[in-house]
This record gives sequence, C-alpha cells and structure tokens, in this order.
Amino acid sequence: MFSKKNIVVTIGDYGSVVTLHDGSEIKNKIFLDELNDKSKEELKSIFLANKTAEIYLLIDTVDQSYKKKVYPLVRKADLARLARRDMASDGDKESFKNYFILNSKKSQTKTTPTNSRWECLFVSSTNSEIISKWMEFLLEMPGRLVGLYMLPVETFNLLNSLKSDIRLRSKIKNKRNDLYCLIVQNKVSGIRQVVFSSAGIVFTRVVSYNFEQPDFAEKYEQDLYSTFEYLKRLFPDLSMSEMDIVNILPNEALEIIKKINSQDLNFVNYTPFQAAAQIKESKLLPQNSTSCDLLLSRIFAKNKKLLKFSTPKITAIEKFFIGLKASYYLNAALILATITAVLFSIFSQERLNNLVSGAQTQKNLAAIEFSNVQKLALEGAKTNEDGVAIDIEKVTDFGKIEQAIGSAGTDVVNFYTSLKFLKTFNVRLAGFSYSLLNFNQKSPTPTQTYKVNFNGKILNKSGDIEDLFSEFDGLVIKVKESLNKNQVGYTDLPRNIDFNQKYYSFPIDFTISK
Amino acid sequence: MKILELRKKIIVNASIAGVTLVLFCGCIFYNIHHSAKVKEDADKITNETAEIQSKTADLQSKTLDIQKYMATWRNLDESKKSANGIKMDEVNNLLNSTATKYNITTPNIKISLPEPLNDGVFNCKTISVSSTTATLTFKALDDVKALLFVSDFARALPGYAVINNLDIKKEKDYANNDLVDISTGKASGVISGSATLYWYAFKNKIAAAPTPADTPPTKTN
Repeated sequence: MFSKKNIVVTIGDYGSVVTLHDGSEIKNKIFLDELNDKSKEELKSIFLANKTAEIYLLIDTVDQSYKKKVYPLVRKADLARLARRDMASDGDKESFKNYFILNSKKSQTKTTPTNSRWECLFVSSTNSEIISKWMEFLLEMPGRLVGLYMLPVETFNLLNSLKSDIRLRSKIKNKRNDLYCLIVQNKVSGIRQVVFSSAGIVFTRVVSYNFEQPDFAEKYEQDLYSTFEYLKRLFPDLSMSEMDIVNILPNEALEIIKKINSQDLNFVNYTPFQAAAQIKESKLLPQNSTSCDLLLSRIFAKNKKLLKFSTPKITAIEKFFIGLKASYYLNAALILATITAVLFSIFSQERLNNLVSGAQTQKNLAAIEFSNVQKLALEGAKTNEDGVAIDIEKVTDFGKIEQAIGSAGTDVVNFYTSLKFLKTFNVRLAGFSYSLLNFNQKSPTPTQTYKVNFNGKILNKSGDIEDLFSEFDGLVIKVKESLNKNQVGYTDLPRNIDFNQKYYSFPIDFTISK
Repeated sequence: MKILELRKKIIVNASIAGVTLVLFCGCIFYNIHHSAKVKEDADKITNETAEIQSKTADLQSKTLDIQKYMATWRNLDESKKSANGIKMDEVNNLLNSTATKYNITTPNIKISLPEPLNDGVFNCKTISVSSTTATLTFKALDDVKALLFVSDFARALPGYAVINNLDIKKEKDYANNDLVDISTGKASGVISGSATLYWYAFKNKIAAAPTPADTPPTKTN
C-alpha cells in the first residue's frame, strides 16, 4: 500500500510489455507476444515478489475512439451528469468509457476566449479479448489493479516534458496555436500519431510504416496531410506550417524524414534514446533503441495519471482497498493512543507517588511539631514551687477564676481614695455607697460595671450664695475631671434658691457609674 | 488482489482495532481510577495533617494560657489559693481579728447556704467551687477604717470574696463626749457600715478511689 513500486502493463495489438518501476528506475521488464500459461508463470514470479506494488494497465490498441462533444455552459456537476448519461446511452456496454473537459479553466490560456460552452472529449476503448485476459490475470495477482489508462492520452506527459526543448528547436516563429503532432514507435503497437493541444489529446491514429520501403517518406507525408485535413475541421484557422511535428523514431527513419523537403512541415526529431536523455532518463534505453515502450511506461509511472478507466470489479476493489487503508490508519492511531496512554500512566505514577509522599512528609512534620509542642507543654506542666510539684490543672482552674472575678469589686478602696480632693472643696461626706451592677454570681464576666454614690454637704465659709455657687461648680468640674472615665450625675443647686439667705453649707449628692 | 482477501484483511484489522480500543479504554479507565484513588489517599493524609496542625495550634494556645495562668498563680495571695472550704470558726476569728485591727465595733456576719457552682469558669478539674452571700454589718470610727476593714476582711477570706455592695453612713457628727465614750468602750463609732460579699470558697476534689477490679491481688503466704 505504501510501496513506491508499481507495475505498468502496456497492451498493444502486437504484444505487451510489463515493467516493474521502483522509485527512479525500471527494475524489471518483460516483453510478451502473447499471454499464455508460460508467460503467466514468468509474470507470477514478478507479481508475487512485489505483492505491494500497484498495477496499472496501459492500453495502446487500435480500437480506441476519441469524440469531441459540446455542451451548454451548465454547472460542472450537471455537466458530469450529462456526460455520464451520454456514455450510458452508448450501445456498446462492454467497452471502457470516460471523458475529460477540453476547455476547463485550468487549460485556458490568455489567447483562448472565455468559455461560452463546454467542450468534452469522450474516449472509449473496446474491451478486447486480450484486455479481458489480462484483467482476469491481473485481478488474481496479489497487487492492487488500480485502473486502465489509454496510452495516447497519457503520452501528453511526455510531450510536456519535451516541450521546452521542442520550442527551442522549433523552426516556427510566432506560433499562433498550441498544437503538436507527436509520432512515436512502440514495439507493442506500431507507430502512432497523437495530436495534442494545451488541454490534452485532440486526435490519434495508428499508422503503418516500413522504414526500409522506398515509399516510406511519401506515405509518411501523406499521413501527415491526412491528419492535417482532419484537424482543419476542428481548427479552421490552422495552417500546416504552424504545427510542430515531433518525431520520436529510430535514427534510420529520422534520416529519411530529414530529407523531406517541404516548407509546410516543421519537424523536431528525437531518437528514443535522445528523448529519454532529454527527460533525464538516459540510462533507460540503449543508444540504438528503436521503440518508445519503456520510455512511455516510465513517463506514465512517474507522472500524474490523466484519465482513469474502471470496471465495476475494479471500483469494488478500490472501495475495499480504501476501507483497508482506513483500517490500517485507525489501527495505527489506536496503537499510538494506547502507547501514549500507557506512557502517561507510567510517567504520572511518579507524580502521583510524589503527591502521596509529599502529603505524608507534611503529616510527619506536623506530627513532629505536635510532639515537640506536647513535650514543651508537659515540661511546663511539671512545675515546682518551693520544691513542691504543682498540678498544672489546678493552676489552670485558679487562673480562670482569677481572670473572671479577680478584679471584681476590688476598686472600691481606690475609688474612695481618689475622692480625697473633696477635702479641698470643703466637702463633708455623710454617706458612700458602692455597688456592682449586673454582677452574675453564678456566671461572672471579667468586665464589671459599678455605681457609686457619695453624699454629704459642701461648706461655705462666707455664707455668700455666690461663693456657694462658685465652690459647687468648682466641685462638679473637679469631680468630672477626676472621674472622666465614668458617668457623673449630681443634684444641682436649685436655681430658685433664696439669694438673700446665707448658706454656710449645702447638701451634695453625686452618683458615679461606669 | 481478490475482494475476498481484502475483506479478510479488513476483518483482521477491525478485530485488531477492537482489541486495541479495549486496551486503550482500559488504560484510560485505569489512569482515571488510579489517579482518583491516589488523590483520595493524598487528601486523606492532608486532612489528617490539618487535624494534627489544629491540635498543635490548640495545644500551643493552651500552653500560652498555662504560662499566663502560671504567672497569675505565682502572684496570687495564699488566701485565694486556699481550698479548705468554708469554716465558720475561722471566719469568725478572722472577722474579730480584722475588726480589732481597725477598731470596728459590733461586727456581724451572716452567711447564706453555700451553693455549689459547676458551670462556666467554675467547671474545674481539681477544685469544687461553692458560692455564698455574706452580709456584713459593723460600726466604725471613721470612713477609712470602715473601708479598710471591709477590704481587708474580704481579701483575707479564703477563696474569693467580691464586694458586691458597700454602704457607709455617718449617723451623726462626733461630739466631745462621744470621743470619751468611745475611748472607754462605752460607745461605738458614728459610722455604720454594711457590705454584701459574694464569697467563692474552694475545696480540693478528691481523686476517685480505685475499684476492686483495678487493685492488684495481694499475695498471701
């Protein structure tokens, strides 16, 4: 399937040639007069030794027909339907048929007018007995029979390979057409004329010459003029002197042709060896080679095939072959995917192991740290006081209680002490009360609030009401200043006090709350 | 090449493809499953690590607390550490001695029925806490002595005594003959005081006695 080898079987009316092409050379070649049991045995050894080589059947028989047909400018898909319908309606169901478009966009040149219609060339070849025998034999062989091809059509590749040299050697100046008449001699089929345009084959015919006959040149000229007459029907503006005639014939024939003295005929001559050398296949033919069978087979093998003919059996084999190819690719893809999955599994194993070992390492470190902290905690738990071991739980119990109620109600003395400034204001206290607010005996909280009340009297030496007010205000300011973190409430001096009376003392009442 | 041979080859290839597909799917399934299992194990270990770290943090926090409590313990008065419970004789002796110290007359204390406390901060492992309300009434010569008497008495009580209420009143101003009577002991001070104390007393918890099953059998000859 993926082999570079292929086997080309060229069938003509005078015999066949089987060539095994391997890359850049012909590995094996056999000329056969007929396909008999003996020749089959000989061929089988080649085919069995090259099971993967693809097989091509190249037909060079005289029973080929080339008909041009014109269609309106429809879509290509519709054109294909029309062409297939016309081929199906042909009476001869056994012959091989196909067509190609002469004026497709690819084949157009600057000088040709744009398409107003489709011009198609229908090619058909009779399914002769020899072709049937060969097909039957080749279908039995292990290699895949790709299809049938017409040698005159495929010879276009040879012309294209020689074209640049032909143009150099051509005597025609300012050629107004793109027609070339190629004349080749093959061992299997005789001498064939093939006329090509830039689109491909236009016309072909098999001619019969004997170079040793004295009338060869005359017959040769006549055949050329006959061909020209036919071409005039297709190309009315064509003149003989504007068509290159390319001869690939033995030297003896070329010597005779050179002597033809006609102004209308412009020859470009090659021997088969010279033509092979021109396409860089100088080792293909001996210098004195007289036929182009191997040259044409080589050209066909190494170039793109132009027009394939098929039979239902070949089409069926092709479908199975495509299926087989697809299955090979599918298997390759699946195997690759499986190998990738296995490799991924192997490489990810290490990553996963690292994941677990990493986590385990972290756990071990955490355990070590916990153990260290535990050790420190236990060491701390073993505390001695004056040589006596203290239970850390007891310490905790008392610590918690001290935290909750240690400071509760302890500030009463400090508070009372902070009131010593009252003396400077001549205050005589008569009562002092302190009480904790919202202290829950059963579930105490560290922050407690209190309420303090102190009452008594403020002494006023002068007895003047103004001095009293002044002293009282000063007292209030001082109380507020000293106890600024607390809320201070007090009973103010009444505003309706008798200003005429003397007040040597006045009661005071302050309430402080936190 | 015969169609039959092609068909055979296609069937063989299809079979190989089937087997390879099964292998491939098996590999994928194994990868996914194994990956998930290992991740599960790793997550489990990570969770255990987090648990240990949490315990470590907890223990460190407790250690800090213990260090703080140790500092507190060292600064605590002996009376606060006392775990002898409520002994009325001792209380009365203390009251009298403190009253004598501050020239307090008619000191009187009434103590309510102790109530055991087991919740919150009083949920202790080594001591049992009982709370009682002590109502103190007295007469003092001056406010300072009254305050100091209450403060000292509260501080000296075993356990914790929280002054919940304190009330000091001057009943009258001192006259000259009051001072003479006081000095001869015929009269008490003009300051009357009352205080309500929440008294928390502690008693050591007794460790549970071993059950007969725990004690090892004694050898007899």
